[in-house]
Amino acid sequence: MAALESPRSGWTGYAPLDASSRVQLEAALADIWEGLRRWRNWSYLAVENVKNRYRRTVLGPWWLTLQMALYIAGISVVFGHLLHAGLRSFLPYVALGMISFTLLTGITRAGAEVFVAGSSTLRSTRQPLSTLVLRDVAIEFIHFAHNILLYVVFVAARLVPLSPKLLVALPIVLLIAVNGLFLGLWLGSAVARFRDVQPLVNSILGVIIFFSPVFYRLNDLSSGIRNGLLAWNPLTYLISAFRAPLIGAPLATSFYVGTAVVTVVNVVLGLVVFARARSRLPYWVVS
Amino acid sequence: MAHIRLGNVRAQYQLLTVLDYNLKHRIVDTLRRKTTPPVTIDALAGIDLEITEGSRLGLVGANGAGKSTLLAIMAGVLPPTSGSVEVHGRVLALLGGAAEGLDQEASGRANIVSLGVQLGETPTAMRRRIDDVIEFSGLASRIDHPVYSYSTGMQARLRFSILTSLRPDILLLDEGLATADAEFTQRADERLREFISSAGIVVLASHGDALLRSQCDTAIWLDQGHIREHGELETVLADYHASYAQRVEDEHSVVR
Repeated sequence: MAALESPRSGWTGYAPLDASSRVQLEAALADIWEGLRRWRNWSYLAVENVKNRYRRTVLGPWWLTLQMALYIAGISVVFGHLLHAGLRSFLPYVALGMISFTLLTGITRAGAEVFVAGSSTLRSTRQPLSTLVLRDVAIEFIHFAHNILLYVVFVAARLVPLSPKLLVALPIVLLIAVNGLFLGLWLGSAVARFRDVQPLVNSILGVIIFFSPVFYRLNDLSSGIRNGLLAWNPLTYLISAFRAPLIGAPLATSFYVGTAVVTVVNVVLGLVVFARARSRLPYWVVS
Repeated sequence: MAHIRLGNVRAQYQLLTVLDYNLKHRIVDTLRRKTTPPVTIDALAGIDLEITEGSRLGLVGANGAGKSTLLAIMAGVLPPTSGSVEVHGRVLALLGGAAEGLDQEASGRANIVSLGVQLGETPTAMRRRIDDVIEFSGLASRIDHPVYSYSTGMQARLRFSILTSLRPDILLLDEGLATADAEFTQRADERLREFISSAGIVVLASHGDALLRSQCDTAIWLDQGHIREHGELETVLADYHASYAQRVEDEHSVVR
């Protein structure tokens, strides 16, 4: 019989609130490790969640892909015209930008509310808190897996080149998942403690599309705007690092250095904030 | 062997009022240099307790005495403010949260697996129990229909059948487990008895003496976060009720 709780792991649940920061950090690391170990559980719950959301529709999650395809087509035609960009090259650019943008903002939005939305589970079932984040990240990746079909269409239509270079996108996708986990751990904790953070995050997510290289190419901008605004947007690096190998664009070093910096910041923030917040979360989310 | 050991466990809550979240209130307070210290409540004030294999422990006490907090700390869903908590064994805590509910859009069959997974079982382990749950619930003909099409009684039957299919070492219950409709009750009682007796440790918080008598042999009387009495169930219940009656009498004499 499978265990309700495995004695094999070092996971011991919550440390007391007055425990030292070293003990809290160890408990947080054990939580993350045990969460990853229970991948069967959260991936199952993620799939069920997506199924249930579309239970009574015929197209199911493909609705999002269809919506995405229409959106991309509209944007590509209008902005392609405005920016004098050829549709054949601009369409894949916008599509892969939009698909990764949607994944990144989806992860951020879900991560911000993960502990508040999961408060009743958190207060009734003993489980690593990281499983809640992992489930939500997995849900966003299920949507991403549907949307990426558009890329397959572009390959079939020979709109994008098929070269070994595209494999560079794979580790970037993995890094996006890592970012999603650690972002959820720190942002979710911050929102649980300071409820104003959530509307703040939503306000930023509402406008950040304008400061992300999705509707236009970085070269379409004056260097002032490019270095002044877009350089400060973490999404700029992640989107570009993911998109460039897939559309056969040059792989600029700055994309990959930027992605590495963003990841390191998220991992460090995630560990520090989550270690401090973890034992207090059940008290913060009392509803 | 199932085992629970609590050493000097304290739990304090800081109560924030609605005004603590109000921006205008906070700015005005800061300008006036007026800070109201938050109200702190000692839900548990230093609990030492050891529960060993075979224990059938009831928790009694008034509302707010700390019963639910104690269960939550043993369940591992709430950390103590200080003190040590050691729990050996696989825990199932039914404390009345959303995680114990059914998903209305999903089929009965899908719910069997999801509910177990939410309570910490693996999907594989739950898939193996599907047949047992379907058979006991008597819902074979409806199991692939969405749960929203079930009557309230059918939903209760399904939920009960899923929960009692689990086999934890330590079972923590807040006010027992509801058993659906009358026709189902007799079979349910038998299954509930088997479910509870297979657990190494059972801790049950309840205001119902009949429920406590049916499941427990020892009890703890909690009073304002302290263990007032720990002993044989009937003795604890008698003392608890005597104190309550005494308090009611005192209040009456004040009125007079």
